[in-house]
Amino acid sequence: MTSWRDWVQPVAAAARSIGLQPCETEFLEVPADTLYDLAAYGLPGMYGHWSFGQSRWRSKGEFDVGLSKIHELVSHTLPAYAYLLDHNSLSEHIFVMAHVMGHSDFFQRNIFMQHARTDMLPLLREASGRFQRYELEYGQAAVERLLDLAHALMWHVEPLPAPKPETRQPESERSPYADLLDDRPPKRPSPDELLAERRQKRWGTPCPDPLFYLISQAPIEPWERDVLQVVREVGLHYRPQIRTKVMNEGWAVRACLKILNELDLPGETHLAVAHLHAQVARADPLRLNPYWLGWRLFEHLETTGRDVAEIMTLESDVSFLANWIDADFVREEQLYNWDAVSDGEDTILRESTRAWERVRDRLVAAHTPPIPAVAVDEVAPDGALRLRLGDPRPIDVTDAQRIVLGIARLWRAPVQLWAATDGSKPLTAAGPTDPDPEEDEPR
Amino acid sequence: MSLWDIGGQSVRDQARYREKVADSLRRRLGDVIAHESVLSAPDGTVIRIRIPEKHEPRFRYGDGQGQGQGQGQGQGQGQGQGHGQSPSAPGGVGAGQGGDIARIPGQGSGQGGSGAGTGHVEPGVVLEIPLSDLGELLFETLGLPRLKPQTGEDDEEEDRLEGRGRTGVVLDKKRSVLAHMRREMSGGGAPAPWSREDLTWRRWHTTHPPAQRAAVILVRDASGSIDDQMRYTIRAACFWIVRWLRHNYQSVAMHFVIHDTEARELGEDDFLQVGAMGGTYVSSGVALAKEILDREHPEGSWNRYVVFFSDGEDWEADGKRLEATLAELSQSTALIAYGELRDSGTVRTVVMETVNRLKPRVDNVVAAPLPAPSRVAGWLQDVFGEEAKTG
Repeated sequence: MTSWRDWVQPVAAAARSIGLQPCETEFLEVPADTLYDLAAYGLPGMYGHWSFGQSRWRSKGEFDVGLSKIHELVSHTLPAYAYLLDHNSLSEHIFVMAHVMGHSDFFQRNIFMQHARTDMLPLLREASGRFQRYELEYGQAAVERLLDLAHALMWHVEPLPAPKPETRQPESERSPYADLLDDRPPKRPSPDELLAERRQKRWGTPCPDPLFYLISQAPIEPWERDVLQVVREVGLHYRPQIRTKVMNEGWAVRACLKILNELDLPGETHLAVAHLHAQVARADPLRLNPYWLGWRLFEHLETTGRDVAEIMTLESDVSFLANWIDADFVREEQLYNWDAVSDGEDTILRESTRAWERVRDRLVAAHTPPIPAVAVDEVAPDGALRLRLGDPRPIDVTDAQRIVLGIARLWRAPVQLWAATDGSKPLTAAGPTDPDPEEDEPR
Repeated sequence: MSLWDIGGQSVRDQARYREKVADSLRRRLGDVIAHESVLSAPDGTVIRIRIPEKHEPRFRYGDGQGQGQGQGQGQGQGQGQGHGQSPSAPGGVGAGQGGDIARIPGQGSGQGGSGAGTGHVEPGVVLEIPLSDLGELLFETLGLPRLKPQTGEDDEEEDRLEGRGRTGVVLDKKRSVLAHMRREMSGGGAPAPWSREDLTWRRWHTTHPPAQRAAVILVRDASGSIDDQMRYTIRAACFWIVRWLRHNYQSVAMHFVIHDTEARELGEDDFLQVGAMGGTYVSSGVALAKEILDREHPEGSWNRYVVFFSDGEDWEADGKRLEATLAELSQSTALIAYGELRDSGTVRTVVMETVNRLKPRVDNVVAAPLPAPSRVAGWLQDVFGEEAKTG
């Protein structure tokens, strides 16, 4: 058995034997260039945009000087596609395949992953064809500007709330005398229910997903709506992945170890994969490696008798860390908080505490996506669109200004961004014809 | 449907990204070229320029202000991000044995650009450009025309093989053999002896090509009203004038003149050092420039340039004299350029008025305001771009 292809079946069988339920996963062997392309674009078939060229350009630099080596890349699609770097050794291939099984299982079972659509490949493939046509028809600059804005709002997408469940029981399950026995007064909806109901009417205002609001309300051309819709789907696809990084990687590291133990590996491979595991899941004295953190926490929970499969199914990173890190975990893993203190010349990093609650809280904060909530609050009587921040932490106004300007151009009326708590004037505002200072000057 | 082929799209998007970086550099060129590290760079050095990188805007947590973008260029500037911790989040969680203390030197030597996804550190992109390429980019961006050398005389002779005939110095073997064969064929193909008519000779030709050398006299006002910022502006302007001339001519001779009410010639090193003298006769500097040119760089074999800088505050009485000197000098120079070290929009100065009076009569005396180092690029365009129309 000298080709990785001979190991696909044994690895999948081993995964199932330890209780994983990986979705159908196809492995593809690709050269480094292709792998770096895929890593920059995120998904095969992705439409073109200069920002992907930027990531690709950077990764090329890193690759040329040998700074980084992508170990695995797997798309959350059905089937899942996992890519193997063609010049890797057999041991590395087997290691990556076992790791990927953990991700496939996670995709299949974690509830947050169920919001993401798994047909992104055909969706994107067709969309990039249409986008190229738009470039020819409406100009490269127009498409680029629209994508710039859509990408800014992509991180604020939310799945539409599920339709309100039917309150009446199905006829068959109801007692034939139910209508006689039920003499309770009609229930009045609570404020929360009213709010949910209002949201359900396809998010009028307030709308927590500005991209959705623009798609449904802005006076835009059909092609512009199409572009925004595609980007929103991409945002929805990435959303659960951003919020389950520690769990997903930790689960994959754990799965990988277990699968490798099940396999009948040649002697020299054992050493190689153990070495790879040590590299992937190493602890870092300054910044915790998510692979390590997730893996160690799952191990800790398993040894203390918890149902890790259920935890993996129901939690996201924030709840996973907040609910399950305990005093024993912090002590056993020797976790500590450190702070940087500057003495004017040097910066000294010093351990500040090992109190487990504080370590836990900092880890939770560090794994909360740094995405300020921005909602469409209302449309003012004069037609101006009002956005409102979700929390009082200050934001970067330069960037916000550019986004607000982009929205104003689509909204064709002024747009204002307000702080979370009412201020006397907006943080920033823009009109539809304001010039963009960052825009390339016509030459 | 290919499951991995992004190739073509990736190449296109990378090209588009680099185009944006180049645009970003062009937009900042005015500041970049006037930067200390560029002006003090010896020829042939590679200059590291740090420009804020084009990035996709995001709603992100910040300090409630804009980002400090600044003019980040210059030698090896970089944000130290020693261990990948974000400066705005000075703390973290680590794992290990007790008592971990790490020391990060205050002066970061990092390269930036490792944007670790914290969203706070805005990585710039560091470009390494040889000084000569930066010049090319500048001249190309400004759209400066190539200067037209004037026809030279005497010492610049050039001999080359040019033209053919029955007489000459070098035998053109190919043509001669062909002529011989042609004669044999027309004679029925029988071998024929070589004759003088078969032979073609190449000739020497002596030409007087345009003079490929230029002389430039850089004149500056050294009166008390010239401050450090103005001196720096002059330095930046001279740096690029000389490079622009070198870009056009094989050799460039330079002379440096300062003046208050009297002018004197100085070495390059002293040119910008001396200062704080008395009043101002701009005409004295221009007159000395003429004297130097006539003595050392006669018209005909040199392309002659005079550039003078002043804040424009000449003595009223000097105006007439300046006008006469400029008018006379303009007869025998390719260009006389004036940089006024203030924003001329508001005040009409003696020197500017004088140059404006000359304009209807003389087309190779040009003037433009030069209020700050960042305006050097625009000023170059104003004065040398002007010569395109006239020269």
